[in-house]
Amino acid sequence: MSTTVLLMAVVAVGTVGCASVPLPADQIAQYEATVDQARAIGAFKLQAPDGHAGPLGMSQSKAHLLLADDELAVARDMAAHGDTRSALLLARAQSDADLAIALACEQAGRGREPSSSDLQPGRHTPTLALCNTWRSR
Amino acid sequence: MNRFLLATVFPASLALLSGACATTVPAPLTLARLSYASSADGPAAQMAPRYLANARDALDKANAEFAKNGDTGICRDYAYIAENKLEEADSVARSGMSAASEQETTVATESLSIPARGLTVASSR
Repeated sequence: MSTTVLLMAVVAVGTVGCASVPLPADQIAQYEATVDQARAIGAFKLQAPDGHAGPLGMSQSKAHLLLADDELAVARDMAAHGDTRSALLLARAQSDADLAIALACEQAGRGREPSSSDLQPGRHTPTLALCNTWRSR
Repeated sequence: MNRFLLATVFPASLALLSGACATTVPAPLTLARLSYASSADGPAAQMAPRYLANARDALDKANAEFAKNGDTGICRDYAYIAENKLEEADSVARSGMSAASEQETTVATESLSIPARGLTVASSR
């Protein structure tokens, strides 16, 4: 009898210890909308401006987007393990995605006067209209 | 002598060390504080005040967490978010300045072209 009670108590404690915490659905939706907007602006395809390459030679906006993606994966993992700090990791991902859009739009603004590097094949210029819409949100 | 060391110097050193550790500000928070001071004194204050206020909000949360619980993951998370938001504010400000500068150039070019047209008309008569 006492062994059964003890086992049930251990299982109960284990279950509570590993209980998952849901990530805020509205914040997940906001994050996904931001990444979609970044994709529409062309931040994933953006080349690093000469002399401003981020990690692995990619543009800083793309580096921040990839970082945001990693942070979201960590947030999901933490949430699955019941860590309440997961919401903050999601906020970190959101801040990286927002920064990526701002940097991509800044680069787009600079690109209005085409330089020799902008004319190379494969270069992608984000749409300024989308940037203006994003800023006025 | 050994007893004196154990009784006075050692506890005093330990107290000093623990005191120093308790007040060490984590690097991300130091960076965020410095960045805020720099951004608030730069173009972002005029061109991107909303973004700067968001950054201030995250920095306040990082400072509050540090004051309450010291160097925690939560403190570092808020400091990281503040740093990103400050960089965003600076970027938005640079974009705004660039756009304003371009608009000024366009207006100046248009105003210069008016007398030129006038000259053309005058010379054709």
